Amino acid sequence: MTSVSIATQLADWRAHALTLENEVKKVVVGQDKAIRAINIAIFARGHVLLEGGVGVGKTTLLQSIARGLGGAYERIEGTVDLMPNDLIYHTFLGEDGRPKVDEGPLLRAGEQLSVFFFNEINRARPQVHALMLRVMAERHVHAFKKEYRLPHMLVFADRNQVEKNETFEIPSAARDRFMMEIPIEIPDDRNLRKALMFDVKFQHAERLTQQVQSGVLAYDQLNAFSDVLQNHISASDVLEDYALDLWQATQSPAAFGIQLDSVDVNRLIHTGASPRGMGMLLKAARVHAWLMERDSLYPEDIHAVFHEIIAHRLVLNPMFESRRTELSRELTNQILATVSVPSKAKAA
Amino acid sequence: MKQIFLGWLAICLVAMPAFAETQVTKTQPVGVKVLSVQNPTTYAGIQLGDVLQRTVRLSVSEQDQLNENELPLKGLQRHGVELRQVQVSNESQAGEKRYTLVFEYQVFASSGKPVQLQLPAERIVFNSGAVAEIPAWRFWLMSQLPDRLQPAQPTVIAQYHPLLKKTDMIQRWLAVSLLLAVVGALILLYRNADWGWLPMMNGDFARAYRRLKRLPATSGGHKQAALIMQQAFNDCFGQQMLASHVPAFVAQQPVFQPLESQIKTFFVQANAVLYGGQLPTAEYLQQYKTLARQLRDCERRV
Repeated sequence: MTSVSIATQLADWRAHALTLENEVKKVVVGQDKAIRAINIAIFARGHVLLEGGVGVGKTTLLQSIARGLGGAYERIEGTVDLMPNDLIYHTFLGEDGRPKVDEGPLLRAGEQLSVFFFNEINRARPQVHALMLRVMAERHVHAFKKEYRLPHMLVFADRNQVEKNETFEIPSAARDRFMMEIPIEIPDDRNLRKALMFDVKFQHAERLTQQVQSGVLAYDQLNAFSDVLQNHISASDVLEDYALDLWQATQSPAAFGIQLDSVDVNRLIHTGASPRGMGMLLKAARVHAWLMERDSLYPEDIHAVFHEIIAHRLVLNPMFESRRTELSRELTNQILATVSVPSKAKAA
Repeated sequence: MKQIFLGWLAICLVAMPAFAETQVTKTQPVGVKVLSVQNPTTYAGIQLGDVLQRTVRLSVSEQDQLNENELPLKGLQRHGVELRQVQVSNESQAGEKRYTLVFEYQVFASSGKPVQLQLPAERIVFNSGAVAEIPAWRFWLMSQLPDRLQPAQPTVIAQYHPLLKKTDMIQRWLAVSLLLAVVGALILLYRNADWGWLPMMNGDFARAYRRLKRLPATSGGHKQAALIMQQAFNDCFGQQMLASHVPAFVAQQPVFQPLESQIKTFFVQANAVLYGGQLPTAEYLQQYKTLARQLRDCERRV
């Protein structure tokens, strides 16, 4: 592939990516940051965990994204009695009255599956999590004596943090499989709130989603393009040092002079970001650089995705787990504010 | 008759001394002729130790001769006036002999107050018996020292300074000029000097400027310059500063508002050098120095 064609390819895909963003922004308002983050995850080929309250538009957002992305869209609801095999197959009585077995939501679309939406994943049992996480990591599953490949599948899951009854906290190893955890918050803007209340178009989610142009992206080419993109964006030695400092700061925040109000940071962190997490951070940062029409990584690119990629990966000591969302967010904020270019070693 | 005789006698008794003195001074001695007596020109204000000279010229017959034994001896002191020297010379002229006698007297009298002294009358005797009487010559001796020690204060005569030329206005202008010169020098020093001990000279950009000045104009130096500037911005902003933070930075510290566009340009260049792999040009270091200096001036409120 020549450099000219790569440049053209990068430009074309960027135009499509921005189109997708704009299409989704037409129907989901006040979530520009989340839409950009999901767009990045799509091109970084990472799974996404949405976090937010009830009725804030998570499902509408994902349906809109799925429509723009093209390919097949499958959805499953997390419930306490959901079993792993419910993802793989389901049984029913056929017209002839005999029991039949059919493929479940995970296998039904085969390789055309582009978005698998796991609603309220924290209501499902850990056994379901285990299967789901394996599929997310390997993108294939063995069933009915054959191998089902899911090369284009992206998993979007959301979790309801409000209710604690009949929910199962997603363990840290499971969280680490998700590239991003994106908070979906109610917009602060008063005009947007008014529109969400009084504009009737926002009251019919399905009709709203239909307004999004379908198939903006060629979902089945995303893997190949993602490799091109990742190879194209470079990182300087200064930025590498900076990323290393950030990683070290997630493990030993006190070494960088990071402090949090009311919390002793020396006791806060059990385990910092994982190598996989840092790899995903750089992967997503490269996508951001590409969207910003650059060929190299800037600290801005890392900042743009740092919270979404690192916060949910931090493993806090048990005494702080009940406040993990708040504390991990605060910690990532402090890390970005404190760790700087030039790195500590070079500034000395 | 008796009364006439007594009157004549009284007149004679009173007039006789005056007549006798007049005879000594006015009449010429027999065989000797006083040609001239030259006394000191100053007769008043003579002080202790002064030497006074008296020259006498006499004329006698050629056969006659001065009896030098009759001359007063050198060292003879009379009423505080000592004869210091006597010089005698003569010459023959037109059948007569002319003597010139030079008497030198030195005053040794002492007095607390001015007193009147005299060069003594001298008697010059010739072998023929002729005698010339040289009258005394009076003069005033001024005391050099008071006759007794006494406090100086009562005798002090008040002294008044001479009136001075009025220079108040000139001095005022001089003071103003000096003040302006000093203030100007301080301002120039404050503006242009780069020492860390000067006030407000240890800010983030002042330190960065000093570090930039030591960097070599090499590719590594240019890259290091970008890092130094980035660090200064971080320190000043209080956190990692990115290009997108420039508006927040100038809002937080309005003193840097005039340089907002230059700061944005810096971040574009620095990002290209630090992260974009762009090779820095030769001007980068100078541009960074200029920007650092401008930021330092803003930081110092200059």
